Amino acid sequence: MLRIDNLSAGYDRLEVLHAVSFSVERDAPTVMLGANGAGKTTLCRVITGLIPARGGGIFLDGADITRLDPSERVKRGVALVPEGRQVFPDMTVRENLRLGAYVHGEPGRAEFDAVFAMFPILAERQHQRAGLLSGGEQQMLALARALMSRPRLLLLDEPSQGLAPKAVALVAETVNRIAATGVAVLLVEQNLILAEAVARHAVVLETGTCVADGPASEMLASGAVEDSYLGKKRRH
Amino acid sequence: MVNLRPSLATCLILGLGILPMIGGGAKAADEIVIGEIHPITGPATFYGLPESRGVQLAAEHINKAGGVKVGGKEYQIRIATEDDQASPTVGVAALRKLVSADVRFIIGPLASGVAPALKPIVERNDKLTQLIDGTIAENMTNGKNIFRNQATVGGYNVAVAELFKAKKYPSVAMMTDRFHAGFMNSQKDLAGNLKELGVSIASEDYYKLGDTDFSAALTNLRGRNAEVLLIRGYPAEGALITKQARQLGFTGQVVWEMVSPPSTVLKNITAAEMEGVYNCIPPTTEDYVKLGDEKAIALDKAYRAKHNEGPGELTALSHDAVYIFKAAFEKAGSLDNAAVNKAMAALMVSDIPELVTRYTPQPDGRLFAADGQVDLRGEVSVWRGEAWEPARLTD
Amino acid sequence: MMLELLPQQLANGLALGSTYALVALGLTLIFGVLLIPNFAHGEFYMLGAFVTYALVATGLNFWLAMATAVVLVVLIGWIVDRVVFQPVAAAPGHDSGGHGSGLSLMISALAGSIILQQLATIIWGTEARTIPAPMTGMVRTSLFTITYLQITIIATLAVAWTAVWLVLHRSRLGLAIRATSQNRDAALLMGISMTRVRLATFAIGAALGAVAGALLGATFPIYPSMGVNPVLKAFVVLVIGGIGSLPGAIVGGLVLGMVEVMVAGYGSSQFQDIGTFLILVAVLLIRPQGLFGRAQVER
Ligand SMILES: Nc1ncnc2c1ncn2[C@@H]1O[C@H](COP(=O)(O)OP(=O)(O)OP(=O)(O)O)[C@@H](O)[C@H]1O
Ligand SMILES: [Mg+2]
Repeated sequence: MLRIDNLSAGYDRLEVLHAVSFSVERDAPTVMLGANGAGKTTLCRVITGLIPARGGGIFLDGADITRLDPSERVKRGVALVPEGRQVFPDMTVRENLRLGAYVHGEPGRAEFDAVFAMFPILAERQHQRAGLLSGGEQQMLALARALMSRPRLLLLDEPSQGLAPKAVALVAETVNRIAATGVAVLLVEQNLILAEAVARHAVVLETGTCVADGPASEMLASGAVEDSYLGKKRRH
Repeated sequence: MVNLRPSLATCLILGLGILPMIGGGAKAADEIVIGEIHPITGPATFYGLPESRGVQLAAEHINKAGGVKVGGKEYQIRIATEDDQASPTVGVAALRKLVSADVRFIIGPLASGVAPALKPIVERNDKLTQLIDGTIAENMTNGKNIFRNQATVGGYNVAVAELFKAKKYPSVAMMTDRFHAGFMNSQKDLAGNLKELGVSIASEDYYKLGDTDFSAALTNLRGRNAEVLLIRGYPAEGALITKQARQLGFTGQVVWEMVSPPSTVLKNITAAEMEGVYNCIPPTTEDYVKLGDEKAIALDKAYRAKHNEGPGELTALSHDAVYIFKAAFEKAGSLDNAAVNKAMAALMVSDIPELVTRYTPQPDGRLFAADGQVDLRGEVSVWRGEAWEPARLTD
Repeated sequence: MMLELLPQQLANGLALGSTYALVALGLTLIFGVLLIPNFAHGEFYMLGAFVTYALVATGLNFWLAMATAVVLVVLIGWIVDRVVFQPVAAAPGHDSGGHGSGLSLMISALAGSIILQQLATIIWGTEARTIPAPMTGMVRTSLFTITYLQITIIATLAVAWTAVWLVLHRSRLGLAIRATSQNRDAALLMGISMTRVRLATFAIGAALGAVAGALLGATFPIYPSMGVNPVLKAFVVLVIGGIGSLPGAIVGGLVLGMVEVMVAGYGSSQFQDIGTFLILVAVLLIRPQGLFGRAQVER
């Protein structure tokens, strides 16, 4: 489904990703682990086209999307729940959702109903400014907004950040439901509970390089992952 | 050895290049070069270009009539034109350029900002004689090597006082461009003169070039019962203030004190709104034409023939400046600056019959006062139809 | 103290303030959405005035001339964005968002503004002139006088604001523009095309500038550098009203106009500019984000 091939990217003179390669399959939701500053968010930004790739390629179902505009990628089904939620604070919840469906035109009732069924709190708050929602509610909104674009590949960048355990469980359940409908999922996560609940495959990123790749059950259990992912441990 | 050949070639080329220059220099010996510095481009073009053309016209005319006779020898006048864009820095550069080309006689500048910048340079250079044909600010001349044949603001104010005396206006509100050195420095004297005539000063307001909204000050006029609104500055703002004053219900007399070509005025206000406005400045080229002055008519004709449009307000001044220089050269019998300066200071108005401008002679008949300033008095004109015309104050 | 003149001074302030607001409206839109301090807005204003002037001089009806000027200035606005701002945003050395840094954008904006002024100088010269007013006459009441042209300017301000509000809040394009102004990266993630947002924003901004220029050019003299002061005033209005806020531009403009007229009317006309400065300082002290600005929250 998604294949990353020797991908490099960075900012200014700083190269953050060095020839990263891995794949995400539709039937194997993947978790990406890595210490702070490893380049996980950067990877999400390259895949969605917010920053350009400096080398290598990004392939969606075999098609090269490395040089496409972000909007073109959204049309092809790439959606990101960005780090820190990034909802539109001065717009209503409903307007945020309309923007999620932007590439498909105005969403109909059915589409709203579908996400409201998944996140009833959003239905209640639909005419409120998104900036007034709580952090957890904003995370729900960011997820719902991504779903409005009818993704085929859903990227989630640390969706559990700042969420209470109960909310994390809700995110896990939602993501699993989405994955079950045939959407490929790449979850960037440091929360092992969420990772374990969702992922069947795991990739470990260390300072911009893929250092391990394998079934989630094995990887999450192995010490190597612990070392790499809890990089801060070694610094102590 | 190897280097010799190229250097030889260089010498040859240089030599060949210099020879014709020397030849050209020799031929120019029968020429007097007068430099003129005016704003040919930039915001004051509408004053400066007609001045530059006036200088050219006078020089052509003199050359055709046999040139300038100095010490039994005939010289042709050549004009070296420099554009100061009405900017002090550009003006200084222009003067430096002329000086380095050994030009020793200068006409100009026009702008009140440029003249003070040139003054210290000219004053310290005894190989320069300057005749200013612009700026009305006081203290621009020294009577030694800097002279001026344009009026000072004092000369303008004579006409204002005359108007108030004739019309017996009881009160006045003044609006003055606060960055115009000439008007600002003379504001106190003018107010004093008017008070002596029994005029009460209802208000004195100040604005700056480029201001667009005068409504607050003009609204206050109504409360102050001013009979006359006197505007001292440049025509774009003059037109705007006049318009806004009328819109805000000011029904008294509007009086301008500014050189304001009708074409410029009409670009900013309709003729109907200008009808009856007085202006107090020395007569312009056009005024002299309207008065039936033959020399002015001839200048006007020559200017139109060459440029396909009428002369500017100040063309006559610039034209006269060349004739003043000619008279000074001939009186001095020499092209030495010291001699020319002395002759200039001693010139009688009657020495220069070609002058279009009607100067008031000094008590002893000379053109310039001891400080190098002419006595040129403002006269009152009035807007009728599409232009200014000399006003008759007696009726 | 001349209280009987107060209604007139209020009318003066309203008329003056609405001219400020009209210029500030386009500036605040482009700043708010694209984070471009568009000094060339003054030149959109100037070109709107000159094109209208040139067309009226050929005998065209004022309103048709103004409409044509709007179209032309929109085209020029697009060219300015393409030639002046986009290269800065695309240049290496800027953050991932693809924005130029504030300083380099400001410098390119100034360069663009100077080039347009030079261009106008070559075409029209530097002499001041005024567009023949499309209407003359005024309303005189016992309390105050106001010209039809001033009323037209106030009405145009109201119409312009309503039109921009409708575009922003009632159209999909407006939704995209608002999204971009709130969070550019998130807008990109929604699949919003930056090209379209830029084109639309510059079109609306330039059109507003051109309308202001045509109308105010019938009131004030026009010349190539006529846009410099109004744009500086408009930046003051933005700071007062809150950067990027449309109601802020309107209220900020009116407040500035009122304060200036009151200072000049009840103080001295020499202090008019000091009034501007005082209100600027007051706003920065009491409400640094501007009257309608939202305090910036770390996201
Ligand atoms: N806009 C930027 N400009 C320059 N450098 C950046 C930028 N964003 C991130 N970086 C740098 O790139 C590196 C990778 O950052 P990135 O945000 O991708 O890490 P991450 O793996 O997502 O970390 P975290 O777990 O803390 O979210 C870091 O060293 C960071 O300092
Ligand atoms: Mg991150």
